[in-house]
Amino acid sequence: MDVSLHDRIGASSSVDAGAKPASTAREILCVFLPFLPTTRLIRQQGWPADTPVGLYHHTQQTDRLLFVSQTAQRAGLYPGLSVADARTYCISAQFHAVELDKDRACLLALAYWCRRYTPLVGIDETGCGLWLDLTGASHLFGGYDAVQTDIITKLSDAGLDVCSAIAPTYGAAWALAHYHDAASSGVIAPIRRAALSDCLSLLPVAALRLSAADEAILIQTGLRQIGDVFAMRRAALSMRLTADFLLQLDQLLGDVAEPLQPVIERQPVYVVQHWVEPLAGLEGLTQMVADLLAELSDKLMKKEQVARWFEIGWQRVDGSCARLHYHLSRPSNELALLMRLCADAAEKIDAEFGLSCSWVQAYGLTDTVSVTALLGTDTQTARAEKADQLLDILAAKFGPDKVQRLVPQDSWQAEQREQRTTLAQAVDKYSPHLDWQMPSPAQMLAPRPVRLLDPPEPIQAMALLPDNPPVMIRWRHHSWKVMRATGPERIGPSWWQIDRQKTRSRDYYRIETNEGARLWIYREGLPERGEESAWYLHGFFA
Amino acid sequence: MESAITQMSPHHILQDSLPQEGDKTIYRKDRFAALKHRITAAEQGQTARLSCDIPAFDSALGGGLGFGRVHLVSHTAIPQGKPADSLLPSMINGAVSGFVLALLRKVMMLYPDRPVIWCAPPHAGMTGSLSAEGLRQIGINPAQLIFVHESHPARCMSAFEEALQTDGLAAVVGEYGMLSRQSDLWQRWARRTRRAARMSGTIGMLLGPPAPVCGFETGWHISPYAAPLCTRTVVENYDWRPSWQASLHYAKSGRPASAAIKWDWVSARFLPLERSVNRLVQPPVGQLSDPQINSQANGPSQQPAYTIR
Repeated sequence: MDVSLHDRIGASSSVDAGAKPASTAREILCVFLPFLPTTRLIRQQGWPADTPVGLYHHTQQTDRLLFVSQTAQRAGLYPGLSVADARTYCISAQFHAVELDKDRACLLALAYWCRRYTPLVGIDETGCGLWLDLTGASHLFGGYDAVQTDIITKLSDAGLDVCSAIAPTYGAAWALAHYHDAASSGVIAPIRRAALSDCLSLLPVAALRLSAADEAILIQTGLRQIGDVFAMRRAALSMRLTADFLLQLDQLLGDVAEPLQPVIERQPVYVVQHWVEPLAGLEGLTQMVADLLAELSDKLMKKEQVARWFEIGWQRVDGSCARLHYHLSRPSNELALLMRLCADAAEKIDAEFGLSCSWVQAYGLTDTVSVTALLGTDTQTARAEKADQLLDILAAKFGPDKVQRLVPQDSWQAEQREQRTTLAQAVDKYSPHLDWQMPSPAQMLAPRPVRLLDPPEPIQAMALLPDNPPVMIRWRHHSWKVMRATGPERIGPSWWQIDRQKTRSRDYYRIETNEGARLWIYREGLPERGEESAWYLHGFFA
Repeated sequence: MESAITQMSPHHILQDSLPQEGDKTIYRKDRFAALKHRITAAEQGQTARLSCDIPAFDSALGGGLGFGRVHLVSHTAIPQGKPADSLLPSMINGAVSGFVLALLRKVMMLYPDRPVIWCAPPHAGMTGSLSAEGLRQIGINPAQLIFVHESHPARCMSAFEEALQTDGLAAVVGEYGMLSRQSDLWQRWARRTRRAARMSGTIGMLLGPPAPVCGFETGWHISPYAAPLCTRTVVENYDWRPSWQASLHYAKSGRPASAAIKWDWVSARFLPLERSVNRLVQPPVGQLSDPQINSQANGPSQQPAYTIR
């Protein structure tokens, strides 16, 4: 911890390195969490902690790695590598699509947690990091070095790899946290300008938060370290590089102030009602919910705010409490919508011997004025809002897992080509542009049933020859004569799956019975290979 | 359906609601004209209809299926002599679903950016659950369908009613199962869903076993079209396009009708089907073997170019 930079930056900075910053200097703590996305995924999936993991995103028609875990890094994987190559480098690695929104939500949660140290906390929009402005607040925790130690200890205990640095400017703190060798145990930069520039001079130019074009120009011209850039004349730099670069350079040493946007959590709006007599009975509870929601809606409208989450809570006469939570895709303060959303709240309240207190609270507050309010709301947007509201209401009324949509899957097996996923946590609740390709005319040569049985039902079939389609089938003690049959269409198991031995090739037939019903049946096991075969009914055609 | 107010821009609505300067009579005249315009637009919206492409049905329905109404589609009753535990409903449920999906496809062509809510039990048992591949082959984008899976039939219908109240959906479909056997509950649901559909202007379709149709706009009986007997069992060029014997047995403001129809995926239209026609097809020389491809090559409005023998 308390890494002394004097060893690294020489005698010129030794005077300032350990000194306490002057009262006018800012204390910016930058926390870099390089493996946060992979760690989050490993925990979410329940994989062992040392699983090599690569997170990729689809770019230029290729899946390329964006984040790799520490184990994967040791195995030779690095960001920018294509997934196809990465699979050959590390066979045991797990690859998953990057979920930037979930990573950001995780960072945001960490930022709120860090507000215990200072009210000015923000997230690094370009990467996986946080910043804390400790100016004027660090002395409450024993100094800025104590704060840094505490944060590193607590985040490390939580299983995260942490790099951090404290510097008078955000640019310098960011550079040291990302590129200093001792950042994993915490770095404290000197305050004085000369010492700070010496401290930064050994870092690579990428620490200047450059655009890719600027970085390429600098490397081409042989400027590999920040110290090389400091030695150059400003006029020479301005001729070749963009204005943003010079601005970053000035912000690095504090010549130009850098505006930082902290995360702000609004205080929830709530309405509390105490009852002199214990409140019970469905009628009374319904009225209570309606009154609370009306008052809350009125409060939100007066504050010109809309909310995304709502909590209806109550305390019984015996002191026990319970809560109901409701969620909206689009924040709102409309009473009619809230009433529809919480329509079944009164039925769900278990009052027992009566309620002594009840409340309703609104979270996730934002200002009413939105982009659509400024630019005008068209009819299509208004309809989409109504559809989203309906999905919220259905999820609240019947359960979030009951509202689902079909998501395509890469598989040849008919029952594995789709997956039903819940809409509760989906960001885009309704997306007509989901990755479903409409079938080409050639694909129409192999019709598929509109209804599938899951699992397929075993049937008895009578065929003239072992590899012929059946002439009669028997399903659940009822027999049908087969009038027409087309096939077979062979669908084999996925050879790349480990448990492929359990599934066998299937020969599918489309048949029409004497009553006109069209069925999709298959024979599992190939008679020409001497396998024992069995017949199954898999679906019904339109 | 779009209501008159939602079709107007906010600027127009604001202008209508503000008093105009000048002569009071002119102001009143403008107000009346605006109101008349709104009423006309609203009436047009209420009476908009979805054509069934089959003249027999369109004329019986006065132009097609009405929006803002609930239509009941069921399979035919189990014929006399069949056991009560017959699997016939399960076997032909695919045909009934296919007919509803074909109607949905036509609705979704009118509203390509709106979702469809499908309320059904989670495990359909012997009737199976909807398959995305099958939906695509009817011409429906599976992403446009949102399922509400509720096992209790009454709650499932409650979801149907809730969805039907909402403007902004293309259609709402519900599978009622055995709920229709409770006559008092069924009648109450019929009234409530009818009111909900009228409020929103959204078309509703109910799908299930034969049920009392009183209270709904139309009642359909669907059965798969049984093709004439064929000497060969294995046929490679058989036309597997969905075909049904559709019977409009009840229409609130129309008359019953019946026809054998088939669904053309390319043109998204119902086509009449002659009973005497053997659907064993032979592709013409020089053309692809798939009738879908041929019909696409000849344009959506034309008949597929295959020979019927």
